Order: sequence, then structure tokens, then C-alpha cells
Amino acid sequence: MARHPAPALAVLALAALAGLTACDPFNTGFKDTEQAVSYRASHPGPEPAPTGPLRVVTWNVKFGGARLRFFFECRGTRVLMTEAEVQGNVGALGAYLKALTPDVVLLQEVDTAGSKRSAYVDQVQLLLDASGLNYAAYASQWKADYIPSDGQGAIDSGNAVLSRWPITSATRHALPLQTDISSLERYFYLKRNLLEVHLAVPTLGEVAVVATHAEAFSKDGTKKKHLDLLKALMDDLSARGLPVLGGGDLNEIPSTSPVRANFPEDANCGDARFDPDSYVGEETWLDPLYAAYVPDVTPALFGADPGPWYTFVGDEAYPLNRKLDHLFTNRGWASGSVQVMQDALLLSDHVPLAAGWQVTP
Amino acid sequence: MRAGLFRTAPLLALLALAPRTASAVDPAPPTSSDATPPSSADLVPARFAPDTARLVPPGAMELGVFAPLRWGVAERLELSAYPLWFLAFPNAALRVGWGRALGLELASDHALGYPTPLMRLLSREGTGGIVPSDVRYPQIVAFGNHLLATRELSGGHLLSGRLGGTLARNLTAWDGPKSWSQVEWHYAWPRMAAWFTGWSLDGGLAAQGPIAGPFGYRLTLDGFWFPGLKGDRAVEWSAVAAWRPRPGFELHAGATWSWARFPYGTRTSVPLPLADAAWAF
Repeated sequence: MARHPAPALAVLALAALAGLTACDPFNTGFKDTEQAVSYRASHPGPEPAPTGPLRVVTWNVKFGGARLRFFFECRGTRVLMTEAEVQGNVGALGAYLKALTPDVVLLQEVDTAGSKRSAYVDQVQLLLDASGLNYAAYASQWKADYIPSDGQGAIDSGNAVLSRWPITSATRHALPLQTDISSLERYFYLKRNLLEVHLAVPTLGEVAVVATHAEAFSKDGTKKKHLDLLKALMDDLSARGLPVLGGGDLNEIPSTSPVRANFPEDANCGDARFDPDSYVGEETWLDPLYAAYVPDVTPALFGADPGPWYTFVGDEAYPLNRKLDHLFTNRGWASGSVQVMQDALLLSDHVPLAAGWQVTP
Repeated sequence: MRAGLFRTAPLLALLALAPRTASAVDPAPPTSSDATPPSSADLVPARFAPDTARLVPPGAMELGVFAPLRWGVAERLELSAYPLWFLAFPNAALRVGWGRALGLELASDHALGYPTPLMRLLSREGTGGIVPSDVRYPQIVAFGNHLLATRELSGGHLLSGRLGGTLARNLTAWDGPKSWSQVEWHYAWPRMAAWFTGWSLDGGLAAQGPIAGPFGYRLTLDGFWFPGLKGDRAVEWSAVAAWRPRPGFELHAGATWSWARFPYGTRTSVPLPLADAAWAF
């Protein structure tokens, strides 16, 4: 083998081509069903029995990127962060989470020590430790030892569930892959999942949580499949008599959303690599979940005054303008407990959605 | 320019110190035993033996698609460069034959490389962007030095060892954290390590020889150690079959593997194909 670096880079290119084959040289693949990665808090805290509704939060934390503008965003250039940036941003996320005093947290776009863009900082561990919770399960949705594009390097980013109480099982269910991209792109692209976690909650017993981050950019109906499979898994768990919480960043807006395309921050964005969001034609995609489960906010209530329920805006210079983050349960929500923390606008491109989960009638 | 002279000075000094070529005017000393000083009279030229201490015969050349162009300048001196990469990655290497000692054929390799243009080409948006487009790669010069020793076993098999390392210096500052400019994947990672730490060590064993008729084999095992990086060692191995239908042409094909520690963990690669065609003339 040559000792010169240039041929070594050629081997890298050959290996990228080999990615088209089944040999998976960059370790991007997953099994259909596999065990999620378990975490334990560095300094575990108490695990008291709940005295009321479980405080649950869902938050897409944008891999600790806060409002840095990345290359795939409108007018974005950044690819990688410094360790100081990551520690600072994740520290702020953790402090905010802790102030919410959650019992269960659903995280999306959380990076692990396998992500170069996040300076190899394990954000799951940092957020688990900062939140005051004790256990976590992680399911990667984007993993590669090396992405030979845009200088991204290694990536490991996905969904996590943090819990005050022990996680008795955690399973990663693979979701269908996007089909409207090339084989090579799909090899390196996100591989989304449902993270099914079972918790042993004192006095309440076993409860199930399903966290996901549905497809965002496909035009081939992949997102619809993801939403339907979320419901199917919740249906299966419900049929077993379990209290079920499902949700996350569903990349879908309620049917009563007043704006479905041409969001203000996307205007005049001339970057050819940026694909503006549009939810036109997807008006009914959340309906099966709305019909079967109790949402954090009903479409009717949302439609009457959507502003306070918005959880996302792509550019912090604009007001939040859509609701992408959702929670559903087969039980209920404590009256008046659902909150969207819109003051967290600068900590991620999403803001947290919190609710009191009424597990028992 | 001063930095360039500084880097080439050791090469010139090395050449001045190297044993002189045997000639009628200046005959080589007798080599009655292994204890005598090395002599160029013991040099054995060889074709298609890049992993050994043997040099390309004087006046001859070898060229592969991916392998370097090797030119036997003199009996004890070989020049080589990777022409395919030269414009993007100016590089040149000297192999100096030191003769025989302790039953071993000895040579040393001294290579200069300037990777900056290539890395700046790879600093780009989209597919093929190995380094982020907003990172400007610094001016880097790398200088590799290795000692090679070869013993010929019965049947024409050559067993070789290599030990040395790479020194490197960035002449301009890194743009952001060094990690932004690193390529943390097999093969690239250990070879680029010295750019970030200033030095790295490597060594290896290689064997090659005949199998039957025009067919032969090559086996290599290389180790790299680069303290200072998060993920500081790598081992690579390869097995290649060679077919030489005529003396001046060789095809070889095989596979290479790598085990390495990276910032994100320890990985063993899948076997990656190796293939090349080489000509000697």
C-alpha cells in the first residue's frame, strides 16, 4: 500500500463508489429492528414515584447548532462547529430542559460522540446529565463513518428519549427510506426510525413512548409512510393495554394551518441548495393520528389561534410560523398543561413543546 | 522559498554522505563478510519491487496507473513521483541504496510533499467535499524518511522491513480548529496525521515472490503511530496477486484492509479492492 496520502484519498473515493454495493464501507446501515443505545446519567438522581401527571417534553435540538446557519439552510455556510460552540449551545439547551423539570424528554437531531460537526461531543450524555434525568435511549437516524460531501466527515445523529425512571426496553425500528434520491445519496442519507421505549414508572407500572423525526424533504410520500407507521406502532402498543405517548418532530403541520407554503423566511433565498418547505397536498396526513389519539392541541383549537402553538421558524429574525412538533397519547393531557416554550427561540430552530401526561384517568 | 530550501537541505546532505557509486575509478571495497561496511557493489536492482530496498536499475523507469513513476538515476539512486497527482500534490522522493550489511540489502527513502493544492481542491461544497468549503487549508510541507531492509530468501522470495516517519510543518495558520481540516477515515487518517501533529512514525513488513510461472504475490503489513491525535494508531494489510506476462509489464490485483482508531471510535474496514497496471522500460 502506498505511503503517499494522495492515493489514500483515491481509496476513499473508491470506497465511496463501493458504497453502492452491499459491503457498507462507511457503516451507514441499520437492521430493520435493533436494540437502541442505552445511557445512564453520570450522577444519577432520585427516582421518586410521580404524584401527578408526567411532565413530558419534545424538542428538536438541531444538534446543538442553535441559530448558527448551516450549509443546508437558507443563506447558510457553516458545516462544523467548535467544541466551545457545542458545549455552550448544549449547555444552554440542558439548562432550559432542567428548568422545565421534565420526567420524560423526546429529543430529535441530537448528536453523539460520532459526529464531527459537533466536535465529537456526546450531546445525549450532556443533555441527560444536565436535565437531571437518569436514563436515556438513543436511536441513530443518520450514521456514517465518513460522509465525503461538504466536509461533513463522521456523523451520528438521531432520536433520544430521556427518562427519570428505568428504561426496561428500547428498540429502534427502521422506517422506509426516501426513494426519490439516487442510490449513492440514499446510502449516505438519513435513515429515520421509530424509537420505542418502555419505562417502569413507580406506582404506574409500564408505559410506552414512541419518538420519531419524520422525513422532511421527500416528494415521494415517504413522510406519509412514516406518520402511518408511527400510528401503527402506537396502535399495537395501545392494543396491549399500555399507556402510550407518541410524537416528536413530525415535519407536518395541522390541517388547519393558515399557511402551507411560501413561508416568509424562505422568500428571496437564492441558494440553489436550499429547498423551501411546502406542505401543500399533505393536509390530511395527520388526520389518522388526530382521529385515534389525543393530540397536544386539536386542529380546531389550533386553527382558532395558531400563533401560540407554533414550534418552528427557519430564521430567528422572523416569528415562529408553523407547528411541526406534536405529542399524541391514548390517555390524556392534564388540563391547561400543554405549553410551547416560544422564548427558547434562539436555542434551536425548534422550540420545546411540553405537556402534563395524564397516564391514569 | 527559504522554507523550501530548509526542507531540501537534509536531502542534499544525505546524498553527500551516502556511499559513493562503485566505478572503475573508485572501486567498491571488498565485501568478504557481512561485517564490512555497506557497499554499493552489493546493490541488486529489481523491477516491480517498490516495497523492498531494491532500486530500479540505472537508466530504467517504472510507471503504474496509481503507482509512482520510478526512475533509476544511478546505481544507488532512484527518483520517484506520483505523476497522476503531481499537479495537485507536488511530490518527489529519493531512494538511496546503501548496499548490504548483516545479510540485508539496505536503502532509505526520503520524500517531500506539498499537499496544500490538493486539499484546497477537496475543500468544496457538495459531493467530493472532503474539507468544508469555508475552511482554507494552510501551506503544509511534509518530509518522510524511512529505512528499508530486504533479505532474499531461497526461491526468490523477498522479505522487507521498513521503519521511519514523517515530519510536517504548516507554514500558515490553520483555519479554525485543526479537526476541521482532518480526514478521519481509513488510509487518509494515518498518512495525514503528521500535518496536524508535526510528526508520525510508521513501519511495515512486506513480502513478495513467485508463485508459479508469471504469477507472483505481494503481502504487506504496515503500522502507524501518531501521538497527539484523538485516535492515534492504525494498522493496514494487503494481499495482492501479480501477473507478469512479460518482463516489462505487470498487472496486480488484490485487497487491502485497515484497522484504525479515529476520534469517533475504532474501526476495521471492509476489504477494499486494489488493482494496478505497471510498466517498466
